[in-house]
Amino acid sequence: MSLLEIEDLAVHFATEDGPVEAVDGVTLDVRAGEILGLVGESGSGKSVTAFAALRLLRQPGRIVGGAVRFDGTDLAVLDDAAMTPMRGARLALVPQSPRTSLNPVIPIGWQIARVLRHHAGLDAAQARRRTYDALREVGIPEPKRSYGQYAHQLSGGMCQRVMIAMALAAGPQLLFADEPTTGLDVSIAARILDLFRELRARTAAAIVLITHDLGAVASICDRVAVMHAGQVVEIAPVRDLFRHPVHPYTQALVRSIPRLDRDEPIVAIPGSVPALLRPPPGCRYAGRCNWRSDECCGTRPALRKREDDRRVACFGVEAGRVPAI
Amino acid sequence: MKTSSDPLVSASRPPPAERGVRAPRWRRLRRDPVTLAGLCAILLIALAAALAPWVTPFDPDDTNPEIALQPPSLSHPLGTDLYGRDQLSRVVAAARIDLLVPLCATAIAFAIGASVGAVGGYVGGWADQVVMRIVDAVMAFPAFVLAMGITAALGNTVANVVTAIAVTQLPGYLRLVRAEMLRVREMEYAEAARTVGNPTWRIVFVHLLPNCLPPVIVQASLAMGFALLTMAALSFIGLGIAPPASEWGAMTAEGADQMVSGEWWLFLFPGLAIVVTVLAFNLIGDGLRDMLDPRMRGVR
Amino acid sequence: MSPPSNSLLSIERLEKRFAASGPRAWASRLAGRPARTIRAVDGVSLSVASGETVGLVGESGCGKSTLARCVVRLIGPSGGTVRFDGVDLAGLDRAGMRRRRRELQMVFQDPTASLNPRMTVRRMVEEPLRLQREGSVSRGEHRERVADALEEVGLGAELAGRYPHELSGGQRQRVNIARAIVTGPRLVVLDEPTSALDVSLRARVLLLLEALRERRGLSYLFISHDLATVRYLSRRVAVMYLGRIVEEGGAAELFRHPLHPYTRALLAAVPVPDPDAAPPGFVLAGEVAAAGPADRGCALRDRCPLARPVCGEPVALREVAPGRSVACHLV
Repeated sequence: MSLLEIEDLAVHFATEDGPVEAVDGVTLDVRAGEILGLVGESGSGKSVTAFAALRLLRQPGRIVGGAVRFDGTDLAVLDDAAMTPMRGARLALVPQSPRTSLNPVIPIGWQIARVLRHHAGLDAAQARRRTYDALREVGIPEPKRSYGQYAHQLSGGMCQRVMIAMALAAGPQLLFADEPTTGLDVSIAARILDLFRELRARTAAAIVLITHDLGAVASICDRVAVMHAGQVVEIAPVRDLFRHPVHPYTQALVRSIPRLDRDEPIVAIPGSVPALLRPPPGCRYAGRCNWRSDECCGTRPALRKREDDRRVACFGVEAGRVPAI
Repeated sequence: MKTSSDPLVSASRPPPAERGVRAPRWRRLRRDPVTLAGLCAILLIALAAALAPWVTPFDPDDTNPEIALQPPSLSHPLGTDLYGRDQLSRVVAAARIDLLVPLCATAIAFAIGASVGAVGGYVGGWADQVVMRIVDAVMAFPAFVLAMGITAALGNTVANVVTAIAVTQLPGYLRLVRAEMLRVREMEYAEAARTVGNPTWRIVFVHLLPNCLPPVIVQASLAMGFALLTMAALSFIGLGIAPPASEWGAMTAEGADQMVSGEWWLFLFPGLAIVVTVLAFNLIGDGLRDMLDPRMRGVR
Repeated sequence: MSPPSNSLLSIERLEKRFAASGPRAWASRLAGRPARTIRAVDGVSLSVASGETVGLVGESGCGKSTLARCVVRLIGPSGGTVRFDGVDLAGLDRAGMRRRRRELQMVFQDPTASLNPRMTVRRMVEEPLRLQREGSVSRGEHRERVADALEEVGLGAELAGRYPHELSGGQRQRVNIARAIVTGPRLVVLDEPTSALDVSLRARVLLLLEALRERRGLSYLFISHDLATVRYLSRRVAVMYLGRIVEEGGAAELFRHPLHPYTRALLAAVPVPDPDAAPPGFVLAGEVAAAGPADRGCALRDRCPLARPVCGEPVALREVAPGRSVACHLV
């Protein structure tokens, strides 16, 4: 059953030249205890979707339609006073660039402890003890010593772990991780991904992994949602998605990645992401798609259930035009 | 300043391909009434100053003891002074020197200060340290006292006043540009400029210095205001432009003498002229910086 | 391993040391103790032949970026030689180096930071030509070459008047590449050219680099931490750890049968876009040491699960098969 249900979400950014339609009719769900990968290139709207769900969007961005149902409550219509207690305590975010997200002049231990004092109402001593636990849980060595360190004294991987500890401190049910492995070395990134897997097992929190790294997705996600230009094009269990990608964009994405284990030519995705300022009506991948039809260019395809647990938004797939790979 | 790595900033800003057709710079002015007001004021004053000989109703130096100390009237809208000179003509004529001196002083201070700061910031080393210590010493003097000292020592000609004001402002530009240069020289485009074969002077002046300028432009516009105030203050105490030349500060000083006897128009109008001009300079600073930044085109 | 004589670029025992700075280092020096030096590049020898792509992989802190900057002479090495086309670059004066820059160029990692925000695309791509001061060449001809370069990297002529902030990430990187090839170089050092790009754009840039290489007969020194892209473009690969090359060989063979423990761990850590791939088996303990490597022995021994006492002895890169070298006592 779903912990988070995003239905037909639309987000616009007001600019001098008109609204930029960053998110257009996004529908997806996150189930309790799962790791959902949210994949797409820059500008695909994946971060914006997460921020919209957390109600962290700032002007000129705003939600113009749709619902974000978390455990029954529609977050999209809550005001700030009602939303603030939920952030951190029930929904949390691990933002991009961990080092710049940490306050540079406050020791990292304090920053975690503050979260605990605020949400769990602990006093200073209790918060400190719980922080040591939190640091240990995310694999930071020597918690007592690390407590007093500053962000610049820690490596990128360590900063990321601190951010994860902060996000999990108050025991949220849902965690958004925004590009947690970008900028990290391969071996460090692998360990962070392992950490997510461990944490999911230990805390039963659901995790939404926002990334453009398909390898990361393949290694820890249960299901994957693929976004393109503000629209969700395919949601499927991870194995199915990689073995047999159905949507043309997913297929193109998988084919464009150089592989370490195979010797295959790569094929670049044709065309480029359409402008979101006055976006084409209909499917936004149509301009780049080999199997487009007039219908694709006029109407937006809805996510339709296929076999098992897979949903695809493509007229070509429904009509059987798109070959399977 | 938030950088684009801040996820909320990047999530709140539409992707680069979205920004619409670039608005020509002057069109943006319409959305910025503050800068517009400032610019109009300065243009008006400059115009009046330039056309002074043809625009003033009387000769500003024409003394006429019979009509001395007359309050504002139809024939003399700003009144007359102690010697019967028409205030309006004097105020307008003074605009020349009161715009030129700050402009020259600021230009000189900027040119030298920015260059030395840029080179020092890029090259570093002991020469940079020596220059900074000298700058520290100069900045330890209260600016006005320093200006007073220089004009007292050199004599109060226009050139010396310009020099004095330039000297007090120079360290500010030097430091500002140097600080920006320390940041900018670490950017990869500075490295790219070297890889491509640029000699050091080109890297500093053609590639990096333009990127150091935005805060300096704001500073310069404020500094113009300060320069004007300094000059007016110098004249007020008799160390600036000597009478009988028309200059707002000197005129305000003369007017202050007469205040007790009730001739309020003698100090008010030149004083107002100073206030309006300084205010105009202050207002255009931000707008000017934005106008010159290629990144601000087409963005609200 | 002595470099073959037809090498376009030959790096011989290159060293770059940085003196540790800060109050503690000052204190050490005052007390007469030699301050700690960081050996960012510690005796690296590498060569790139004409028309070849050599990949250099390693994680952050291994010294590969420092090496790149030594090669194009952005920084001066502390020891060793860099020879381009047989000429020792250290022996060149400023004018000589400037001439060499026509043939030896670099593409930087961050496409946004490597473009001057106040210069148009045209100006930036034209500049290398203008700096070469080929006296007889007119501005018109420069314009043409700029237009050709832009076209070759897939940027339309209408983008020439734009500023970097008006371009997308992929377009910015292509401007970078255009700027690097406009003078017709023979070797281009690519420092993480795709790392800052979206995964969907990387293919485009990789294909572009490959096409340029074939069409213009370029050689590349391709530096990256992304093993898959290195494998895709390179014919030979060298693996770097803490300033030293630990393994070198043909790309396909090296990635299929890695010999050095570090290479094995690196490969094991790369997440493969295949959910059924076996989980990583070979893991190194700890993180990369912050300072320079241990003095005498193998730099990896503190983290290597196979470490033995012999690993405390100095280890050199030795050839274990034709074209294949490893720096490990246990291989």
